[in-house]
Amino acid sequence: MKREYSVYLKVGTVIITAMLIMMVVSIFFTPYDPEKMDVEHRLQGPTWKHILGTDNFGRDIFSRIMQGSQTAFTVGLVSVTIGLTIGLVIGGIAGYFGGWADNLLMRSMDAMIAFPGIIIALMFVTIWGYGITNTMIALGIMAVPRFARIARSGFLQAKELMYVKMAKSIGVSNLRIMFVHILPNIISPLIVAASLGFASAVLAEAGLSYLGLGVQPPDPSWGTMLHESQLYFNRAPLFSIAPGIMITLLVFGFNMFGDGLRDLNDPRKR
Amino acid sequence: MNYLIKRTVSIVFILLFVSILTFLVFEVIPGDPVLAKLGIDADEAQVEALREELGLNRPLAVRYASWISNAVKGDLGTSIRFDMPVMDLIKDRLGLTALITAMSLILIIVVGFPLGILIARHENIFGLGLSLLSQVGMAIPSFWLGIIITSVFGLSLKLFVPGQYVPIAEDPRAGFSYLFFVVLAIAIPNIAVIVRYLRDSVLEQKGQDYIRTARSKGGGENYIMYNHILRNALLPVITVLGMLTANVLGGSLVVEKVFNVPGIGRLLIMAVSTQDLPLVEGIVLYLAAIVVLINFGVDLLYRVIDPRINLT
Repeated sequence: MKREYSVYLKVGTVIITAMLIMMVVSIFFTPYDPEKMDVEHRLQGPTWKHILGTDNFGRDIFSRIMQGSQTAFTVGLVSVTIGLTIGLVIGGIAGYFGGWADNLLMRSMDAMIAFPGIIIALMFVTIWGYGITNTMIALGIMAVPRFARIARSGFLQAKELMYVKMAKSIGVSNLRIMFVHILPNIISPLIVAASLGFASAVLAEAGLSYLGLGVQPPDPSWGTMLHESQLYFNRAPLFSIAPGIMITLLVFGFNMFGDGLRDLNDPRKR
Repeated sequence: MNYLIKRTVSIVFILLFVSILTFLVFEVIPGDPVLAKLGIDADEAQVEALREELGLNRPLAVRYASWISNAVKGDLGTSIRFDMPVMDLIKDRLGLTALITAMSLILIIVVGFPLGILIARHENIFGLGLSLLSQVGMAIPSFWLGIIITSVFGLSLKLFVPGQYVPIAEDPRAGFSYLFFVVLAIAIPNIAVIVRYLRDSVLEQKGQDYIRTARSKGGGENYIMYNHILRNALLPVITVLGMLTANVLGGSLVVEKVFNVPGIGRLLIMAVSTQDLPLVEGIVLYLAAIVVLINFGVDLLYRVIDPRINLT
């Protein structure tokens, strides 16, 4: 069982790659136009023409699922980038410089962690409005404390190490030490966190969109599809089941990848 | 005692930060609430008058001070949509959400711990399979699970009528059995979380030297499992319970909508979609404060249970 992480890594990589391929393909090709309505053939079950059936406007569900992957990847990538960037700056300042800045910044991170994630996101969309851009910003902000904590502990440990002291003694600027010397050495826990953060962003986006407070139609999103499908479960169960499975798969893939990567870096588990 | 004082002070600070964050988020709203109310072509005097009336001409710090002192006294302002004190609205709904959260936590503990131990005991392909399954469980969105549960148990098996929550005060049996399905949707992904943490924790203990010593002294597998490994492995999992509470509460906020349960989540979502800022602000502050206090409680519990940690 010592090689468990390699199973995790493989499963994660396979799922993420498959999803990525689907996303790239969907940019150029979907079986039907995902937005083309055909009210006469609404809420159909699976047929050879529509392998997942059609939704309440007669749109091809499979095509919409494919296109929805673009939203999922965009939301995950952008919000992780936002969270990682802000978290790195905050954690860097707190860990590297320490003192009152550390105290102030990390206590506010503690305060942010106190909010259940979805509440932070809801708070921001209340004020800034719905839509994909604001959802990504809200989810990015939601992820900041996690990245900040990890970055802080990395910088905190690294600043006492010889190579940092040496760099300092020959007059390398703090900024350069932080981002050119230290960052490459503490990057792996951040990559793990980014992978897990990607998963939680996808999950949170789905939740918000399901509530009708996230990605808005006509932007395709698996969460929005769940929002639209709930009323029609009896007539077209696949309309609800398919997007849920896609969300689960993508989240699962990134969780596995992140966990596998973490164990790979953990000498005790190797 | 020293530790307790230190922890309490830090909790007070965190609560202070929570309230400042909430206040600032709602204060830096893009656009001027006064202009929004009066229209862009309102004249200076009118604008000034309304500013005065709403207290918006005072410095930010003064406004925060009066807002937070009111909040501590239980006055969170008035909801725009309901035209009622925010506190009363929260009080009406909080009980149900608290009940759902408590029931979910109980289910998570009662199912999660034995399951986690069972999985941890099997360090073979079966264990790996179950551990993969728990990873899948963690990835399932609870609201989607709610939709599936509604259709399977509600629409097909007719064990409850979807969307028709019966208040517990009216009919305890119907009420609780309805809530059971709500709780199921919230609990399953979180059971997976507990299982996973417990398994990691047990596996970590298994590799420790003291276990090898126990084994070399001739301790049976069961004896070692229950008297050595679990006693040490369970402790770190308790800290996860604090995090789970926030998870469960957040899950409940969304799942309430799936099952149409009139808890605080429905209120919050209604408040968000009608832009009822005082109501959103009040709920956010209230829930965050609860989560902070629960985490504080869990932390204390941890210190009490683990005799190795000195409280002084």
